[in-house]
Amino acid sequence: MPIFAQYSVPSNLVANFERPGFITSAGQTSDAAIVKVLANTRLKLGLDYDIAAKPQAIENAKTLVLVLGVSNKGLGAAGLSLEQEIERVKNIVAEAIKNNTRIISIHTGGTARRGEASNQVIELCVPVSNVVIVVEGGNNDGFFTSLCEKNNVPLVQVPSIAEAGNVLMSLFAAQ
Amino acid sequence: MAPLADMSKIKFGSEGHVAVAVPGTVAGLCTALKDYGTKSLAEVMAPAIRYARNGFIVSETLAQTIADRFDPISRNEPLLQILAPEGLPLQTGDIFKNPDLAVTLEKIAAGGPDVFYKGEIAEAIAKDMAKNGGFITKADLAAYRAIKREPVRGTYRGYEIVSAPPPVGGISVIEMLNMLECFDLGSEQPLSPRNVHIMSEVMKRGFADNSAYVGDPDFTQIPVKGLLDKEYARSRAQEIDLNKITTSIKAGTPNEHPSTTHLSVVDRHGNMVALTQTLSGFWGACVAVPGTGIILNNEMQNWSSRGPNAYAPGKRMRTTIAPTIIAKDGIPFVTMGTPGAGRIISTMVILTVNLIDFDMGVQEAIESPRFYARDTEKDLSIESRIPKETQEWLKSIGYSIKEYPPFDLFFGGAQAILVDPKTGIMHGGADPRRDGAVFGF
Repeated sequence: MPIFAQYSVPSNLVANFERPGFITSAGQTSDAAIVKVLANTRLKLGLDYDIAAKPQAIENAKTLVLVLGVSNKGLGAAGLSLEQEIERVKNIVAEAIKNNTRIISIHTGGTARRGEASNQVIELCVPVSNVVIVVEGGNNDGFFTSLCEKNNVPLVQVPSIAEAGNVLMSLFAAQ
Repeated sequence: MAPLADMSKIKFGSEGHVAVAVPGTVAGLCTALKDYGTKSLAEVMAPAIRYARNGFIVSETLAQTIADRFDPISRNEPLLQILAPEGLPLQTGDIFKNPDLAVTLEKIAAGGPDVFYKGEIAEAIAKDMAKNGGFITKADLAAYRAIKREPVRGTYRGYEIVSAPPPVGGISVIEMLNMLECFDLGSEQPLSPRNVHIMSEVMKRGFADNSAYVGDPDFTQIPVKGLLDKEYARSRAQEIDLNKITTSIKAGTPNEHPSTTHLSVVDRHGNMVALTQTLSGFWGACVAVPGTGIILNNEMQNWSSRGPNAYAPGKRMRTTIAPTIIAKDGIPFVTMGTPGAGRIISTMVILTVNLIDFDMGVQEAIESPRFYARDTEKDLSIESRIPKETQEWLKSIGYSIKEYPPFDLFFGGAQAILVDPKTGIMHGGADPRRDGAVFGF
């Protein structure tokens, strides 16, 4: 799949995602809180949020926003081991697939949210996503590019978190 | 220091107004300047005021600390305005300005610490506390005093170690060094399996004693002499089996009963300062006082549920900070310190050992891979640069290893200056783990 330049979102995806939407992390990264503020305070998208949501929390969601990246500090704060967090993410993804909930995966943490553990959750989430948004530092090694190509998932790469917000905004249909 | 109100029924968390202890930094720094300084308050504060007003470039580490606590930060509007002025957290390369803080600092520079503890800033803090369920009152601020205490002193292989006394952590640094003196660490490589095992066992015993005996000396009897006693250290060291991990460690019985920033400074006369100050966690309680630019600490999370560090009104909580000076033959040799919560004490021990046992240069000592063991934690935390051979041996005798990236800010951010006793040349060392830097003026 091609990498789309900033703001160049595939036309078939523009306004293609519906609300209610739900934001959770995949890896307990605090970047999820940033995406929440971006989506709700700045863009007024009104998405629900729980950094450690359980599958039942997303039952009614039409769009699931997964914020990718493993944080040891976040895992500790949530009282989860990496294995438990991966299990939670698998369950969330399974619930989304069961309900035909569409998935936006977003990675804003740059190189700090890359590494063996983060790559594990990225490899888990990207193949089941309808679109992936990545802030460019996180894709310096082309990891997202090759993973998206392999799984035929559109990838939108942006230079900053603020511009990731613009992409997110364009994906959601007006209410 | 805890507010004077009875908060014994409060569950102290790490964020929000309840987590805030009465701030002491302004009183401490002003007292040090008054008693030992050679410049006026306005002169020494001018650079900080300039940085607050004009800003500085956000580093990757600073951006990460904002991102890491963005959830609680986003719940406090005044703090959000400082750290996310356009709604999103400041990013690497952005300019961080805090103009309200510049005005606050100017007021302190002109009026002295009373502006903070008795004047309009005290008023602003007390008002924000009252509005948000906090406990600090104007009376708490007016009553605050910086206390000058005698440092704790010890020796390590002929060097004098001078460090910060209870309720902070220098006593444990010296106790651990006393235990390490019983072993010939220098006969092996710094990170050999045996050395890492010995130092981990020593750290666990030192932390166990710290928890059992250290608290506010105005409220609890601390066996300072006993904890610093070489014989006591020898008896603790004898508990260590060189081929076996001790899985459960209790405090010993000494012969008496009872987020942080570090600066190391040496002046042209060779006077040394080791200054460690702290908000406790990164961004403290995630509370900023409206209109002042001041970000408040979350020291109230540092109380223990029982023992010498149990909460009491007006009591000062135990922390692990341990600014330390090493001297040789009465001449100051090294000033050093680090942030890093529990890793402060272990890092001070590792730095001392690196400098004295392994004769490392100051930068090499700081950059050397770190590890951290504590009596209350099941894992030995290590940076991944610890040799694999050492890791495998430690696992074989029962260690559970928690591996961190090669240079991780979990292990602190040490700053040190070593003055060569022969030439008088100053060698500064700064920690890449937390954007450390060395300057000469």
